Parts: sequence; C-alpha cells; structure tokens
Amino acid sequence: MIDSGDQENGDETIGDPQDMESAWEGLPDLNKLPESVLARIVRGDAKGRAFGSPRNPRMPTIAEFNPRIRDIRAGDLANVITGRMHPENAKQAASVKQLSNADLVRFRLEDPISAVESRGSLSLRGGHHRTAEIIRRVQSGLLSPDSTIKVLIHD
Amino acid sequence: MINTNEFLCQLEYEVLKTRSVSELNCKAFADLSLESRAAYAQAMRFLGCESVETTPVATIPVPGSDRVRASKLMLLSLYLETSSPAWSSWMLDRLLEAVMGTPEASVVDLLRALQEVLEAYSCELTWPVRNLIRDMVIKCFSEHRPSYEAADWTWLVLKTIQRTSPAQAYLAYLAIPPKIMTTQCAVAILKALDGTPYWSEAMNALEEDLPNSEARILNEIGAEGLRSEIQIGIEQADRGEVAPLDDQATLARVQSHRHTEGVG
Repeated sequence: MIDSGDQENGDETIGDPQDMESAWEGLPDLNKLPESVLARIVRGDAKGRAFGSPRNPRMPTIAEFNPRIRDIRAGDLANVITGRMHPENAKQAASVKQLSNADLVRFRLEDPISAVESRGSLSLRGGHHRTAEIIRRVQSGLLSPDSTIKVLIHD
Repeated sequence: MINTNEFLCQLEYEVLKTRSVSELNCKAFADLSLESRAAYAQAMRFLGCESVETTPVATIPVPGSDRVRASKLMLLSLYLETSSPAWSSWMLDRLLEAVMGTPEASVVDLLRALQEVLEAYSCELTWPVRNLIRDMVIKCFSEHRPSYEAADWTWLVLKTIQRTSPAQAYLAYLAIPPKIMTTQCAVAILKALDGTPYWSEAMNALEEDLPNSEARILNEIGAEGLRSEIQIGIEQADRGEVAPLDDQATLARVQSHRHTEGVG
C-alpha cells in the first residue's frame, strides 16, 4: 500500500506524456477494489450511517460505491481539486517527493487517487500527497502538464 | 536504567515539537525497563526509531494505561493537537499496526487515546478532525472487528454523559456500539453537536439505536425543541440522576409546547 511507499529515486526530468502511458497497463478492474478503498465512500446507507462502522457494519457494494475513472490533465489538477480531507503531512510529503514521475502518476488499484465529483470539481478522498506533488512538479516544470492522471471517482 | 515517566514526558515534548524522535532518545529507549520497552517499542518504531527492536519483548504483559499513552504519542505525531491533523492512509495503516502489535492490544487503546487527546488539547471539531475520527473508527471496526466487539465501551458512554466536547461527541456517536447507546448518552452527543454541520447526521443515526419510545422522543422534539429538552437531560445528568428518561412525560411536554406555539 502506498501513498508514500516506494522510496525509489526517479529522474527529475520532465515526463513525456506518451511515456507516461506506460504507467498503467490497460484499464484497471474496478470490481477488484479492496475494502480499504470502498471505505472511502462518502454517503452512508439510507439513514446516512457510515459503512464499515458499528451502526452499519457492512462495506458498500461495488454498485453502491459506483466507481469510474476520470482522466485529468496534470496541468488541470490544481484547479479541479477544490476539496481535501486533511492537510499534507510533511513526513509523508518528503517520502512522496522521492517517487519517479512514472510511479507518482501510476494508478494503484490498492490505493488510487480518488475523489468525489461535484459539478466538475473534485473533492479528494485519497492520494492527497501524490496530487500535491504532481501539482508542484507541473508548476516547477518537472512533469508535463499534459500527463494524464487517472482519478477514481466514486459516490 | 532511566525513569520511564520522565523519559515519556520528554518524548511527548519532542514529538509535539518535531513530530518525530531524535536519535538520542531512540538510543536512550534501550535503557528503559523490559516492561516499558514492551509497551512503547511499536510506538517508537512508528515515530521513526528504526533501531528499536520489537520482537524480543512481545510476550511481556503491557498495562492498558501504557498502551493508551503509546497511542497518544503516535496521534500527536499527526498534529492532532492543532485541530488540523495531517495524515495519509499509509500512515494510518502503520499506526494501527503499531497499536495492535503491542502485547494485549485492543482497538480501544487507540480510540481511548484519541478521546483523551481531543480532551487534553481542547481540539475543535474541524473538517480534518472529523475526517480523522471517522477514518479511525471505520478502520478499527472493519479491520479488527473481533477486538472491537470484545471491547467494553461503557467508559465512553459514561465519559460522554459526564462531559463532552463537539469533537469527543462526534467520536462517541460513531464509536459507541448501538446496543449500549443510552438515551442520556444520545442526548449528550446531540447537545454537544448542536450548531455543528454534523448534528443531523448524528440525529438520524442515533434515533435508530434507541428503543422505539425513546427514539420517538428525539424525533418528536426535532432540532429546535431539542435544545430545551437536552438541557433538561444534561441537568439531570449533572445532578447524577441516571434513571431512564421519562418518555411519556417528555412527549407530553413537547406536545404541549408545540400546541402553545401553534396557537400563538
């Protein structure tokens, strides 16, 4: 599981968007999302009770989670993300900074960059440190703004 | 051998200042008693002391108070006392592993530590605090359900009735198993959450937990009327009157109040 994880040092050169395509191989199978990702669902059951909690012990089904992928230009992330669950943790940010461009944008089924969408804007539910690092690299010219970031959108 | 309490006070100060533990304190940890090392080894690893061994002391019994204190140190490393905690799913995974990797651990250790930090530092119920509470309860419950279900949560019910802040109330609402939720506790939670964005969420969930007659009270009272009714409940609690709420009398009072308002 990584929001930080890989400590490998990537080259800090600007990534070719075509090369970045190899960061994922085919479409991810969203039926295989782990419970830790399903737990990111924002809405609760009919009474609003949080899934996976004492009042509503079960996790949401895939249908309830309603996952879909949205491709977003790295250069658009800063404007599209309008909500976050928490601020960045300095230690985690330092760790994510060590990732190569390819690892940074790679779609991770076990821990995807994920968000809830509302009128085109995204409220992040996972991948806070990776998206912050992507935004920083685009701004500093280390990552192409045309790189595609696959974001898991869910309910 | 060094004094454990003094060492831990120094450690807490350092964590609050730097969010980690210095090499000096990592080394000093080796001079603690075997029992203390068993209690805090996992936390020290989480805080960045990679040299700390965890396996050799894993079979030593660890008192609950030490397990809670170790959990508090880890929570403070996430800036919780600022009411603007910063974490990641990866960090929460490691934190829960550290808590549950301590001898005789229970998920209660972490949630009790959370409750105590919220109180000790008067944490506000900000958006990040709300999210951390929610993530932790769901993680503890879904990943360690046997531990969660085996735990005694009565302390949290009693603590909530006695005194609770909005952040603590949000934790209580999410964490207390419905089967032990009482009307008095539900009222204390709703009173504390009054005026926050989470009042409706808690109200909808809590009324489901209670027997029909008591839930009807919450439902009948509604957002406005509840304020006065809660006050009655709190005053009862303050006087130490722990008898069940008189639902019929309460309903009569509310209906009478509504009737008067309607006529006016």
